[in-house]
Amino acid sequence: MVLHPRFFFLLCISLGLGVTLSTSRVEAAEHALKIQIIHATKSGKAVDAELRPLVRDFSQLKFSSFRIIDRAQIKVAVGATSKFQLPNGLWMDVALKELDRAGGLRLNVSAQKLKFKSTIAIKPGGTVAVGGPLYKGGALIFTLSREKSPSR
Amino acid sequence: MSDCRFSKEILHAWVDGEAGEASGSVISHVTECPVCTLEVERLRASGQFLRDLVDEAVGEVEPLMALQSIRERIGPKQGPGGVFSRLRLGWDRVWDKHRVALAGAAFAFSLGALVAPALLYFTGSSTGRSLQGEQSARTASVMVESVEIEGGAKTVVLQPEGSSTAVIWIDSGDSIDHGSAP
Repeated sequence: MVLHPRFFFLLCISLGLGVTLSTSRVEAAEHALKIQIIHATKSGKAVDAELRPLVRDFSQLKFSSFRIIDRAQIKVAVGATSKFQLPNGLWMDVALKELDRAGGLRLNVSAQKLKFKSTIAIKPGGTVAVGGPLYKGGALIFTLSREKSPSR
Repeated sequence: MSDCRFSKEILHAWVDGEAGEASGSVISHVTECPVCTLEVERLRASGQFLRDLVDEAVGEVEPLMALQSIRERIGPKQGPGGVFSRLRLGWDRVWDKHRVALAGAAFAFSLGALVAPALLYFTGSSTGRSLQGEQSARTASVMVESVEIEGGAKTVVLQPEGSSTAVIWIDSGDSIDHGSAP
């Protein structure tokens, strides 16, 4: 079978475009993240039911009460930055750097006012909590969670 | 007309203004020869008839435009649609001149598009720096790769083994039980 040069040219271009577009489409997809703002205090032992599984991981923190005071759902895409304001006025920035080969989202989480920045990789079912800013006799905890079956 | 032996070719050339040096002899002959005078009138009449016919059919034509029009008419048949035809013609010219280069570029492009994602997949990210090692990075649901903070504040990363939650604590001094930290 003789491959006509023009057909070969078009085949190569189509193949290249197809692969490039499909790859960029994966990178451009949006990924949902759940945000919770938790107020942790040392007074009382009230823990919101929704937080009970999470509080086990807070056992090293000297707080006894954990209440959700705000929540949101954001969608992040590679190259885009989402901002979220905490009740104390502090802005948290969440930027998706890339998707790693293990299926994790590599995120840059930062707070400009605190001159804080961190890079985390989060897979479905994972949660990262950034806490410490003082608020109303306790501290604020900013959590980012990725659902086990992430919606795109 | 058969009575005159004057060259008909020269006579026709003179009528068309192409007799050159022979014009003088033609004029002197035509003024004396009624047969040739009649022939000249006939030639001029038929010539005028043809010119009128052309003028009527074509009208005033600018020579260059006429040439272009003729070339278009005798050129290769074009498909319907002017833009498409021009594009195709242009593409044919480019293809004929740079066939090898175009094929090579297309091949290189497709090869690059195929190889690059695979290469990225197998080499992974060059910027990722795990705090807990590559193996745990593959299994943990969350991995804190780096934490930076300027000023006097300290940060602590808490992640019990097997937990799907990592805690980054910006330490204010009295909110973490350091004694039990891993």
